[in-house]
Amino acid sequence: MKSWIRGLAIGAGIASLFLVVSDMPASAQLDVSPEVWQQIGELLQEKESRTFDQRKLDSPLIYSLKEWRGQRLTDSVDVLPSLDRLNMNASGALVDVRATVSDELVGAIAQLGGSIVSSSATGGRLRARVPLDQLEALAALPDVELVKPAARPRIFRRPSNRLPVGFKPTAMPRLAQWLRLLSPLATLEAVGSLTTQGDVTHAANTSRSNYGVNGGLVRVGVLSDSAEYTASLIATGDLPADTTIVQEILNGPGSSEGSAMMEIVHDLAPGAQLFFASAFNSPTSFADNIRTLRNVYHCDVIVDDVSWSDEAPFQDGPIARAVNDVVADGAIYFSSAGNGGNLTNGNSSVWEGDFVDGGVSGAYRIHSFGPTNYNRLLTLTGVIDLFWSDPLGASSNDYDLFVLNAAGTAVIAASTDIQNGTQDPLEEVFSPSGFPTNSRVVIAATSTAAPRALHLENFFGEPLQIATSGGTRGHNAGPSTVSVAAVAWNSARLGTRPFVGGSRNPTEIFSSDGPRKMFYTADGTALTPGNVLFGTNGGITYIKPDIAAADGVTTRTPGFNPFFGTSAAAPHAAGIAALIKSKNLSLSGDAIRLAMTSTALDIRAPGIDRDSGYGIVMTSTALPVAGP
Amino acid sequence: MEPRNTNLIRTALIAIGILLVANTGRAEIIFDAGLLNFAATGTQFGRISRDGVASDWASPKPFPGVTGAPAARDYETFKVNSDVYSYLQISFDDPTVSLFASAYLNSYTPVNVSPNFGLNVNYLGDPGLSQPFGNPSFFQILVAPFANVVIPINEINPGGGAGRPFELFVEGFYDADYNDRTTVPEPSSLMLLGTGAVSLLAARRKRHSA
Repeated sequence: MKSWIRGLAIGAGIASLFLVVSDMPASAQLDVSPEVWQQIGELLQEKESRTFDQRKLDSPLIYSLKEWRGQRLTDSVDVLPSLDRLNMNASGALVDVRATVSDELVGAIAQLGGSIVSSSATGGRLRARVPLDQLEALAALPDVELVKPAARPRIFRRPSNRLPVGFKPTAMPRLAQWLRLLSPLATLEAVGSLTTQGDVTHAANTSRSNYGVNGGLVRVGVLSDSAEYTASLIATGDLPADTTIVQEILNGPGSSEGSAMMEIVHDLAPGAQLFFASAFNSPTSFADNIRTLRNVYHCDVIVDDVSWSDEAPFQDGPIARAVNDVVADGAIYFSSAGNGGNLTNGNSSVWEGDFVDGGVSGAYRIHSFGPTNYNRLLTLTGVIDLFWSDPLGASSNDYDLFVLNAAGTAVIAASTDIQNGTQDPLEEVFSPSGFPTNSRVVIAATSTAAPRALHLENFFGEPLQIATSGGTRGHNAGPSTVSVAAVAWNSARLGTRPFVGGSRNPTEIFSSDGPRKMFYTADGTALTPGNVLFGTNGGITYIKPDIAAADGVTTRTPGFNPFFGTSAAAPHAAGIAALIKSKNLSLSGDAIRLAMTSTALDIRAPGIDRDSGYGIVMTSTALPVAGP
Repeated sequence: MEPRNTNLIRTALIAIGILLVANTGRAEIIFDAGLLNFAATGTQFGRISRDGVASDWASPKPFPGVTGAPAARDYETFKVNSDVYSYLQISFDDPTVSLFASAYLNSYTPVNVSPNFGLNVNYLGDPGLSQPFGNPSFFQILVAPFANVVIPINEINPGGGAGRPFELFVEGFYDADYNDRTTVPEPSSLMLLGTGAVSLLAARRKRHSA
């Protein structure tokens, strides 16, 4: 009898869906086929059927469990491949857990056969590897609030496909070697067997001589994926002997991008002491390492080039809050703006704007991007994220994200997490082989969801057909962060000469743009209560990126010659900050930031602009205003 | 002035002069082709394989091999004398991504003989890739002062370079730090000058008091 009723209900639901489809606005029918409306409607029914404990699991985990058990997802959707999202190994899936972290919880996870990768009691988060068949049991633990696939990190290097090569001794003329040894002020010169061209283009080389500074007595912390080549670079003189590895990547190897970044800092500020910590182990570990670099190792300047996929655009998350802490303590913090393209160059990977009702499908309303009710992927795309302007951990407006095939006749991926007051405003889809070119991206809001500002992003920088500015986000664009865009060192085609500014030195075509709109303070308080939309000028708009610096430079770390990307730009800015700090050790981070931005070389649009902020930071003009 | 003292002063002045010239350095564009259109002066068979590895001053690059052989490609060459410099940086701007630059010592002699078709003979280096992100590609080579360097510009694809625009320039440096003789003398140079002057004065005083 019960199965009769259930069947009747499902049948009625599908029938009503078709009735709704026939009543839809013409534009909505044109954009999304009836088959897709049916699939989306069934996915919504599946979502609403989840138990209390299942609602603590992100939708990719629900889909993965069904896929693993060989169960059909819905009547018309066989499977949405999601197991690859879980970074599986023999010990299970890698998941991020929001919970009341305690010894009891850690013990309970161990009882389930899981293992803790990292945890933060203060942050209320942990990362664990858990057997797939125990995920629902994990969600059922009373202290667990949310379980989701582990967030993904990215670094902002643009690869040149260089293959690693062995180190060879520097063939330096004997006279020059003797002169180095004879010179009592040798540390004012760039050091190491290879030097970044940015040393000249930022006028750091001449400024060190003119002002007698070299970064001495300044500590610089660098965060990236890994720094495995550090020992080799110390041996060749490309890094100082006292370089300290605070924490390496746990599940390496990485690319050793941290070594290349430290090389750049060392070239510009050869007297500075360097510290490295991995930002790749987990978002929680990243935040902890930022604080460790300041509180334990007393770094005055900190720089990173990492972003995590779950970092919110509209509010400071755990990593940005760590940046806030160290900046409030007097440090200056630099981060890569990102390599997601920009509106100026027509290759932005981001769409930002307010939700616009483009038509109703059952319990969903579909967002209109303007010309169509979908966006398109212009190249093969791996990860797509959707954020909206609800506070972190307190989203009560339920949005979902769908990827359709190019023809718009089938759902090929979906993220349908439930937001009912305690979740993050985030949906993410992932494909290990990539969603095909021309796939459609559809944003849907449940019927009770209020209109919100949206941020849709291809995480690894692939362009969207309908795109806007506002690519840089998360701690990379936090109010406390100095966000750094990239300018090719030889963009003016003048050779190894100081930047000249203006149209001769544009930002790189891939450099992420701003500005960054934020609607909430770090604790979730609305900046403009009741107004969380772009169209009504809600929130606060921050100038991001703040500055620009050199990339495409030479380093000796294998694979990083040339070193392109905002990952290369940020350490140039950090090296300049170290020189300024060494000129006047009493300067606060805020004062250094002001010296750098107020004297920057204007590029792109006249004045402050969304591509380069204040412009290219120059040592020669920043040092004179840095006090005695 | 006695001959011994004269010789001492002369020797010291020469030494200081050499040190000053050597350590103040000068970055100089020693060759600038300007904006040109590709015009063939010879034919090669295949081309250097773009392996993504740019040659640099710390790691002389082994010949990366040949690809696309034996299909004929046009090339033209530029001859550059390194002057007093050992550290050369070659920048090549090819907005249509049709051409490729490399460097050879003394001569460039492609032949239609496998496996390397003569492209490995006298090879010095190449940028390993073409025009990353619309920027000029660049690479670095180490040579003896006053070396004759030949820079061939070749088509990436057969027939694909005719009339294509490009810019090529070569910078010379005294060291791997891009030292520049046109800038103010570095503190190290001033210190050397000071040390030399003090030594001379001390020598003269000793001579007078003797």
